[in-house]
Order: sequence, then C-alpha cells, then structure tokens
Amino acid sequence: MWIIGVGNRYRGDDGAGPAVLDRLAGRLPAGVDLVELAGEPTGLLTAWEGADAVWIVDAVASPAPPGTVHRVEVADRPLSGAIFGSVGSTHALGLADAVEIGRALGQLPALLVVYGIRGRDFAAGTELDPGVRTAVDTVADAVRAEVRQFGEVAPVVGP
Amino acid sequence: MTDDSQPGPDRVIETGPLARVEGEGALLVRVRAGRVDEVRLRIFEPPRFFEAFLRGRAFTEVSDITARICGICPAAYQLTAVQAMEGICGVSVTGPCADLRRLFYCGEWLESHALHVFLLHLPDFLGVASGVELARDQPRLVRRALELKKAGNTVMELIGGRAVHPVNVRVGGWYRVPRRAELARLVGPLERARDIAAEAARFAAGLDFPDYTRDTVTVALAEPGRYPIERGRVVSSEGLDSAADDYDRHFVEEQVPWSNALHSRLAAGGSYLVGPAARFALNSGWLTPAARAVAAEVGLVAPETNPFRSILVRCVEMVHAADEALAIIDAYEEPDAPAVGVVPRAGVGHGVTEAPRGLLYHRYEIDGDGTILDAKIVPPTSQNQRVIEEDLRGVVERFLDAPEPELAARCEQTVRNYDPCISCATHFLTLHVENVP
Repeated sequence: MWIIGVGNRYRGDDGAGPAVLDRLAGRLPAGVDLVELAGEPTGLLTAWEGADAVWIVDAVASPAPPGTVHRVEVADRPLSGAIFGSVGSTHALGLADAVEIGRALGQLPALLVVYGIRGRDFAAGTELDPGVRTAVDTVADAVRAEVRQFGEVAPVVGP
Repeated sequence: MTDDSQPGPDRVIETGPLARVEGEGALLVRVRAGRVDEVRLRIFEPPRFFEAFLRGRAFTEVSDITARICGICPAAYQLTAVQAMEGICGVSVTGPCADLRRLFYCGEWLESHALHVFLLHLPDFLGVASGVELARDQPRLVRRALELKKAGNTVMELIGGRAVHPVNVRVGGWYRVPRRAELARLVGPLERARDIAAEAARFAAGLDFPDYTRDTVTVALAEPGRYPIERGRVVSSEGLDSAADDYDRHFVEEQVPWSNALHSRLAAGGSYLVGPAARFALNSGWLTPAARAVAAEVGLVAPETNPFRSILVRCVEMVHAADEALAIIDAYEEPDAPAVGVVPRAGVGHGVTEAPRGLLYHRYEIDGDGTILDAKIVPPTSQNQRVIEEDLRGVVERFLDAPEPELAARCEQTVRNYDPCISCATHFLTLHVENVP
C-alpha cells in the first residue's frame, strides 16, 4: 500500500498533499509507505507500480471553495481533467494523465483513490490557507481510516 | 486587441488561462496583415522566489532548498549550488565523490529527456493529442519510455537518496556514498536504457521534421575530453571561453513588460541558445563512441540548425548518459570519506552546470558565518526565451497559410523544441486560436 502526496511545499497550497503525508507519518500500520512526488506522470506510474492499493492526495484548482475535498476512485472512470490536470493537454501532463496512461498500459492498482484538496493560492510560499489546513487534517484522518479498513479486508504483508 | 485599420486577416494565437497554477505561463502570437506583429512568451519563474527565500539561510542549506525549485531537475539545482559554495570556501570535490556527482547527473538527464522525448515532444510529431493518446496507440513504445525513465530514476534514488527532492547532496561531497555492490545493481537497467535510447533515436530519425532552420549563437559548458554535464567553462559559437566567475560579464538579464520572468541576452546584444542542441553543436566530439555512432547513424551533424531535430539530440544524449554512467560505475572505487570538511568564509561564488534543458548559473554571496547574503539563479529556460520567441516568429511566418489548428499545433511544437521546464519555468495548458474580426 502506498500513500502518495503530490505537490510542492514551496508553492503555497500546492503543499497540501505533502502536508497530509506529514500528518500521517508514524501513524500508519507497517506495510504502508509514504512518498512525496512532484506530480509528473511517469514518476507516479513508477511509484504505484506493483501496489495493490494506492491513495493519492493532491491540491487542485476547482470551482469549489478553498478547502473543499474531492474524493474519486479511478478504477472505472477518468479523473476530471479540469480539476486534476487536463487530460489531452499537449503541454503539461498531470495526475489525470498519469491515471489514463496507467489505464492504457494496464498499470493501475486495483484500488486507486484520489483525494483532491481545493487550494486558494499557488504562488511561491510555504504557508497553507487556513481552509486548506483544516482539509489536510480531514483528509489525513480519512485516508488513515481507509487504509485500516483495507488492511482488515486484505491482510497487510510487510516489506 | 488589434488595429482594425490594417488590411488582411488578423490572428491572435494565445494560451488560455492556466488550470492548475495561475499565471504560470502564456504564449501570444499576433499576426497582422500577413506578418507576425508580436510574439510574447510569458513565463512565471519560481527561482525568483527561491533567491529571496535563500537569503539569511545557512550556506549548508542550499542543496536541500534548491532541490525543491524543480521536480524534474533537482540534481541540476543542487549540484550548481554546492559548486558555487565550494568555490567560496576554497574546497574542491575530486575523485570518486566527483564521479558520483556526474553519475547522479546522468540519471537526471535520462529521466528528464525520457519524459520530454516520449511523452511531451513525440506526440507532436505523431499527430496525437498527448502522451495519454500515445499510450493508447503505442503501448509498447510508452512502456519502453517508462523503463528508460525508471533507469534514470533508480540511479538518482541510489545516489541522491530520494528521486524527487534528493537529500544526499551536501556542500563538500555527500552524506553517504554507495558501495560498489550497490552500484552494480544499476548496470542491467542502464545497459537496457542505452539500447532503448538508441532505438528511440532510430525511430525519431524517421519522423517528419518541418523544413525550418535558423542561425543562432550557441552557448554551453566545455571541458576538454568530456561532454559537458556537471562542470566546465562557458563557451560559445562566437569564441567566448570564460570561467563561471565571469558569467555576469558576458550575459545579462532584463525585465520585459509582458512577463515577470527575466529574459537573458548576450551582454554584447542578441539572443543565444542553450540546451541539448547547443551542447551538441559545441561538444559533439566528446560524446562516447556509442553515442557518436548513433548520432552518425541517424544523420545528426553538428551544428544541428533545425530546432525540431532537437528530439534527436536528446535521444543521442540519453545514449551518452547511459553509456557514461556505466563507465563511471565500472571504474568506481569507494572513497575513504563521503565529503571533505568545509569551513565557511566570506565571499562570492559561482556555479555552472548543464541541466537537461541547458546551462544553469548560480551566484551566491555568504558572510564569514556562512549565512547567505545574496543569491542569483539563472535557469536555462529564461536564457532560451528570446530564441524561442524568434523561432515562433519564424515558424508562424513560414506556416502562415496553414489552417489555424495546425498553426497553433506548430507553435506548441516550436516551444517544446526547447523543453521549457514544467516546474521551474512554465506550465502551458490549452492553446487557443482566436480569429479577430
């Protein structure tokens, strides 16, 4: 099992994903690994290779208010490109593209849950918006609960 | 947006709003009466923030902080920063510790070039919308791309400690150096990577390249006997041969009204090119024999003046990076100590390396306690800005009769010839073509 925090700690609310990892460090059962990534798709594909269950937390820009939490299971459907990085864009590639490349290559984990935290400010800086900070706690608790529940259904095998 | 008194159709090609990070980058090309009236590439640059952020920090913190500037090329930022600090403190990293830096950097070239060649640039040539569509159409090709990138990733993780923001680099050397047996595990993946890169070069040689060439000043590092990666003197096609310390005498940055990024130019005036094509133009003789053979096989001759053929240069550089990484691993002997001691002293230092996208320059001033007083970081993309804008002008004028979607795609492809850094210089998303009545 992997928990992936996507984002840059020096880009304001883009640090939401890594902040969730900080909240989870030391509070998870053995066999659950935390990894921080910049969000570039091949890095994501490599990170979840061979994993049976993966949770990804990323900051997003959506029409919802800052701090809003989106939760999507991507086994059967694509992520919204508008929220998670535009699918089909020919310039930058984002999380949504990583998911679709993984799907095309048959390299998606059986369970892949994406949490998106709506950010307010992505300018350079190290502070999180108060609403985003609250959402970070909410998502950390939710992911922890999901990991435990998954572990009860499928016994965790340590490394 | 346009002056209606001018005859002929006016066209504006511009990038739309950016979905994930606001104000990250935008492109505007304005065509008036059959001539390109204006080209503006607007780039947002995190290095400016980091320059301010570094002031007041300890000189030993540069490697960890600069690693965060870019998720794609952390090694470049780290190794340039520590080189500058070591210069100030009067120490030099030599022997196996220096070789490990070059090896680390080879891993980054593999990673960065693999991502750009296959998932960002190749879709332009194959007429597919994105790397996602490419994965659907040609899964075998994309699997190999991922394998190649993973080889680079593995090198970076083993030596750097963590692939995205490596933590093992320090002023004076490393926190920990690998054992020979650890490096031996990289041999298989790197041999495979070299084969995949050569195959990619052959594949890319068959692509349909737009008929477009331009003449430009090229600037890269150089060092006799070695293809430039993690150190060297700054040289140019105009005969410049300078130490890093004199960079600011030869190149200047200036503000342009449409962008909060600084544009670089030659102090004597005019644009210049950095990156794979510039390195190849000035240093092709120092490629490894395997890389030289692939270059010859695919018809690459220095200097390559068609910017669209930079994809071929990147493939050849991947062959080189894998080949050279293998040679470093083969010759590696574990050093007695992972680092040399460094005592801070007041002064100014300069660092230059060849990031995957081109020449990267850092300048720092520290005081006697090692506190950073000033930092200047010039990423390759801001050095290439003027050449990119000139190319856009040339390409649009050349293909002006093309239907608008095709022209817009050609503009995107032109920008991507320079692999503008996803994280540290610009994000582009959708490109809009607008007809102005």
